[in-house]
Amino acid sequence: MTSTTGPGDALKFVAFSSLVKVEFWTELATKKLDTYRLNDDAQPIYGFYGSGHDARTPCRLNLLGESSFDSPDDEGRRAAGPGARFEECRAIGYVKNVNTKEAFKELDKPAALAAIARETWADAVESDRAVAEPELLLRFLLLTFADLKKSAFLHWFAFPTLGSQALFRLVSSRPASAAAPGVLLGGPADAASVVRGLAGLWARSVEGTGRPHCPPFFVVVKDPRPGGRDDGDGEEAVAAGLRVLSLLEFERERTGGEVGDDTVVFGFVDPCSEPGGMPGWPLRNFLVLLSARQEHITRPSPVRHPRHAGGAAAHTTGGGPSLLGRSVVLDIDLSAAPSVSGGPGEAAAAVKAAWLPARVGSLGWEPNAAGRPGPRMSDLSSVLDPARLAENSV
Amino acid sequence: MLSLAKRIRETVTPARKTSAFLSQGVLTPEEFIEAGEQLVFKCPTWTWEAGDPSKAKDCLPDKSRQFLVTRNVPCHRRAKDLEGEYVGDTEVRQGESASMTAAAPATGAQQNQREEQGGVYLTMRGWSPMWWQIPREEGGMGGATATMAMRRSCSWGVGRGGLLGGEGGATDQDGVAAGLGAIQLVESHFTSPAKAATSTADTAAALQEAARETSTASGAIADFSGAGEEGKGSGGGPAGAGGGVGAGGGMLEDEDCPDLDSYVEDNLMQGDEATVQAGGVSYLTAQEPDDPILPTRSYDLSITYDKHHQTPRMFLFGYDESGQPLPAEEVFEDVMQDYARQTVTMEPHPHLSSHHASVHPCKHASTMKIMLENLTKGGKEARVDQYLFIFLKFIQSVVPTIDYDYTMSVDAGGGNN
Repeated sequence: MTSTTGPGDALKFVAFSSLVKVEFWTELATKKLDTYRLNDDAQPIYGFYGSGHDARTPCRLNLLGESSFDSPDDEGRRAAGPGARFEECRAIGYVKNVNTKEAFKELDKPAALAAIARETWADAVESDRAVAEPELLLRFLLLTFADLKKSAFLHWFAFPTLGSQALFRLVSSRPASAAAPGVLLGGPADAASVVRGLAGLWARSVEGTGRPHCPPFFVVVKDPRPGGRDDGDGEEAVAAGLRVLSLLEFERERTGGEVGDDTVVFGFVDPCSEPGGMPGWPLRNFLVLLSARQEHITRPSPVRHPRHAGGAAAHTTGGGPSLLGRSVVLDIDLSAAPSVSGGPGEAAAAVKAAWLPARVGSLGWEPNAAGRPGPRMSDLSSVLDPARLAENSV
Repeated sequence: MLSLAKRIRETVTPARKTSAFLSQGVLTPEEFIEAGEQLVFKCPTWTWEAGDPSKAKDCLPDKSRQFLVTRNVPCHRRAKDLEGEYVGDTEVRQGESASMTAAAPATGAQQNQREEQGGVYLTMRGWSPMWWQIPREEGGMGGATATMAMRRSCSWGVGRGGLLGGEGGATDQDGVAAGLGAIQLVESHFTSPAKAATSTADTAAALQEAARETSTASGAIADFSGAGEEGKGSGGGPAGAGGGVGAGGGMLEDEDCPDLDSYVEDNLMQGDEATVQAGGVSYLTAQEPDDPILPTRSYDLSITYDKHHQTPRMFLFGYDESGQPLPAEEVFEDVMQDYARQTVTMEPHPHLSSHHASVHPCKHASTMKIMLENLTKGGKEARVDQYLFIFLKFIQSVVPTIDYDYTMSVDAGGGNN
């Protein structure tokens, strides 16, 4: 990465890079033939990401075969069986598969994306549903034209974002494993306890929702009672005096007065392993939620965001020093960001306008391989077409 | 047609009922499941998958545990380049080693002796056996060997020795010993005596080519652009220098195909100061002057159970760094060149509807048998649930730059549970 973000600068987010598995395209082709046919309405799909990547691979959002097209029924089946652990966090998206190249070209793309951005705002932020279902903040749009005869798929991803301005300021950034006296999260023991706490949170989430996905966002709180608690999940986390809660659990405890504002760190699973410590795309809409709903969720500023790196490995092995070394704590200043708490009526409308600017539909489009604002083409003829394969087979 | 015949053959072969993993190096379906469970437990990057339900194998008891998958395994370098690099370091020896191989048909024992002589054998066969020797620290390695050993240890990072780390540190040595055996076997089984002479000629040609490549300032870059010219047309560069899309280069020439440039909409993706685009140029930019620009491909690996050979079977599917599937000729760049198109071929995946590169399992059993014997000789009990760990070590010699072990190093570092 050539550019880095320093203290005081506007916080930058590393955009998602799509990685569409060939199984997704074959599944889409099947759906097109059997289910969608000429229907080009947007259909719900899922994308997956996780943390713990090699530093030289980009911030990936993966589209898989079957599991990207899961229906609620499939979810239960998959949760019961093995598998589906890959890239543990799930994003909710839409695929809009048009029938002709011309339709692809003529489609009003900003309007399509702006509709999803508005939906994200209404569903996730305005209604507060994202507190219970944080996945609602992780949205994407995939436009496709499937040329089934040629096994070629023209496609373009967009990752809607609320707020087009750089409204978040980076105050400081440090590794979570670095000891820092006087702060909630600092030092290897704390970082380790967060990883263990997240494993516990994941287990509670699987139990509660029946879905095998890791909560993409979480809250680390200091236990108000010295000596910790002795109620079960993660004894070592208790020993360190830190607990990991879901947003919903946090809000309940906060309402009940159990958690003080000054002992909170918000966390997210970061698909970006960029060595400079720049956060990945999921944090962006999460910060919008935190800013816009300050009166509900957090005090004004600053907010700290540990970046959890480690994913599945952390959950099953308990994590090691190498793993924790990559979590990052960011101090972020949200004071420039508008909050819904400004009041009803005109003030609320002004806030909404700030988060949903007119050009929201033109932001977040993935560039093509040449870095230009255009679609990509996946040519699967070499991996699906028997004639070309014969040349390489013995 | 051929694959149809194979499918029929697999259908009629009865599933193995009795365990023979020590005596023959093969697995029963139940043992495959057991070994797979251990792999998934130790290395959470591996998961079970069901695949296409209509292709589920009856011999495997659980429809949801049909094959093992790990995805997005990085592959920073081309195996082709590594061979070239090593050979470039040691070209002085090439005449000597080539003549040795030509004179002596490869048998396990002779290869063993040759291996004792240090660099000679290794020079002949490229560098792949090299890293197995790192922990042994025996004398007799040539200077070139040492150089390569260092390079390997640098580029492969930590945790490699700890592959079997869950069993305690001592296992590492055994694993390495087993690995050494495997390499010899790989060599002796995949290269028949008759082929040895041919392969010598091939190698000599490869040596010259490689020497030429490494004499340019940066072999990797030169080689990559070369590959682009051969396989993909101008659109394939990961840095996007040529415009167009990754694997779509060939398609652009097709008159029916849309010109992707005509789809560009400049009003989209307009500057947002809070966005950093990844996956494009920035991730390929060199951090330091001596860090060449390398294309980071990624691979999805799967291990299926081959009922006919009664062994696991490895399948690979590659993506270039812009996320486009790699055509076969580019996948073969990541396979040791002696194996590409011979031992490693493109085959339909038994549980999916696409074609993957596959390491042919015909010699897996005998290779695994010797590896397990070496493990036993080292005083360790060879357990069936370790089978896939040893199998993966063995596969690493075929696809040395597909760095799936990095995912396991996490386990080795954290793993006492």
